[in-house]
Amino acid sequence: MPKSKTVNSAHINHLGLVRGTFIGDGSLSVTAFSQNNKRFYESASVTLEEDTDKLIETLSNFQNQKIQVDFGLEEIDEWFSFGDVIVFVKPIYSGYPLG
Amino acid sequence: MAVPPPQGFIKIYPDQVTIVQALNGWSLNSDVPPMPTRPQADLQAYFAARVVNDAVAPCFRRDFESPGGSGVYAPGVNTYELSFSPSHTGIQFFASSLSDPPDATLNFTDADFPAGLSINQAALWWDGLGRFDAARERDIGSINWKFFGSTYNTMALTGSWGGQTTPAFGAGAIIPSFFTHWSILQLMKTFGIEVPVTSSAVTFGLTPEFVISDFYLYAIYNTLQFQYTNTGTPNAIPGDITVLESPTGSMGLFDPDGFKIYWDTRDEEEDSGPFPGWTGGILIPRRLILTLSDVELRFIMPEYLGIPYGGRRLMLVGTGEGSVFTGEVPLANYNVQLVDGSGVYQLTRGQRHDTYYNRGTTPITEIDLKFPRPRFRTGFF
Repeated sequence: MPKSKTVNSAHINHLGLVRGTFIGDGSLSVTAFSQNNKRFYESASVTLEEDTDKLIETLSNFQNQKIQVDFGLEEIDEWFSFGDVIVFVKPIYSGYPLG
Repeated sequence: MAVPPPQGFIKIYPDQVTIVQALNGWSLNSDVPPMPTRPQADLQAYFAARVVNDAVAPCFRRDFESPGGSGVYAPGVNTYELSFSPSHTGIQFFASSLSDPPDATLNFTDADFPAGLSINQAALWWDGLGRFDAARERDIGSINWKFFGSTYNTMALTGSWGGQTTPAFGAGAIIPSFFTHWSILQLMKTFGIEVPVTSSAVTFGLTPEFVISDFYLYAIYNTLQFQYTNTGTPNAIPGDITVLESPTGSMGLFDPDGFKIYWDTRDEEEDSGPFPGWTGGILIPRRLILTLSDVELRFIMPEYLGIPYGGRRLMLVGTGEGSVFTGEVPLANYNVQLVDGSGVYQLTRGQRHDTYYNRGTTPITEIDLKFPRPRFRTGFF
C-alpha cells in the first residue's frame, strides 16, 4: 500500500484523539464509525460539567476510510453544548491494496 | 376457657367511670399492672387497627386490577373479633343504690371495617368468672338494639351470667344482660356497630357488684360477591359508550350519582382516596349514565378534565350506600389514550425540552417533552 502524506477521506486515516469544548450534564460518549456503521470504536466516555474552562479529550484508536465521529448522551433529559471539536487524524495509506 | 383474674388484677371503679374510660385508662393506674396488649390510645383506634390488619382487605381487592377485564370478589365468611378482652384480668363495676349507672359508648365507624362487606351476625361474649354476687342478680327488663338503620328491637332479658349470645340481626335475637342491672345495649350503625351503653332506670335498691373478666364483641361478615365485566373496549375514549355487565346481578347496588373515575398514581407520591395507588374520584355526571340496571351499566365516557396526562390508567368505581352494601368498589380499569391530537408541538431554540400544548382542555395542559439520547455526528473525514 502506498503511503499517504495528506488527509483525504478516500485515504485510510487513523483517528487518535478527539478534543473539544463541551459543557453539559451527563456522560458523553464518543464513538468513531466507518461508513455505514460497519465498524466502530468507542472511546472512554467523558463526564460533562456545566461550568468548566477545560477542554475535554478522549483517546481513540481507529483507522478506516471515511471516519465520522458520533457524540451522544444516553439518558433522557441530558444535554450538552459544544464550541469546537478537533479530531486528530493522521493519514496512513492512500488506499487498500488492489487485486 | 378463661382463667380467673389473679390476685391484684381486680380494680373497683366508682360509678362515675365509664367503661371506655376504664378500658382506656387501665394501664394508667399505678396500682394495676399495665395491659400488655392494649395501646394507651383511644379504644376506637385499637379496634380499627385490629380490623385493618385483618386479612380481608387484600382479599377484597383481589383481581380488580386486571385492565378491561372483570373483577371477582371472593365470597365467603370471615370472622372478626373486635376484642377488648382483658384475659387474666378483671374489671369490676360498682354501682350504688339508685344512682345512675355509668355510661359508655363503644363506637365502630365505617373506617373500622373493610368496604364491601355486609354484616349478618354479631355477638357479645362474656363470662362471669371472677366475682359476681348471683344473689343480687335481677332481670333488667329489656335491651334495645337496632342494626342497619332498622327500628329498635326490644328484647326481654334474663339475668343469666356467663355465656355467649349470637343474635341474628333482623330476627329478634336475645342479648342477655352482661351489665346485669342497669344497662341498655344498642347495636346500631348504618355501617359498623355502635354499642352505647346507657343508663336505664334502676328500680331497686340493691347494690349490684360483679366482675367482667372477659368481654368482647365479634361479628361475622359475609363477603358480598360482585362480578363485573367490561364488555367494551379497554381503551377509554371520551364520548364513547362503554358497557359493564354484572353476571351476579349486583350492578343495581350502586348509586347512579356515585360512579367515579380514579386515575393511576402508583408511580408518584400523590395518593388520596380509599384505593392506594389511585387518586381522583371524579364523578361521572348523571346525564352520561344511559342505563343502569342490576346486570348492566351503560354510560358515555366523560372528558378527563383535570386528570393529568402521562400514560395513566383509569379505574371506574361504583358507590353504594344502602342496607346491603356501603362503600366503593372498583368495577373496571381503562387504558388512557391521548385523545386530542390537535395540540401544537412547539420548538424553541435553546430550550432543553419541547412543549406539547393540548388546546382541547380547559385550562390548556402542557407536557414537557424531553429529548431522549441527544447526540450529533460529524461528517466523514
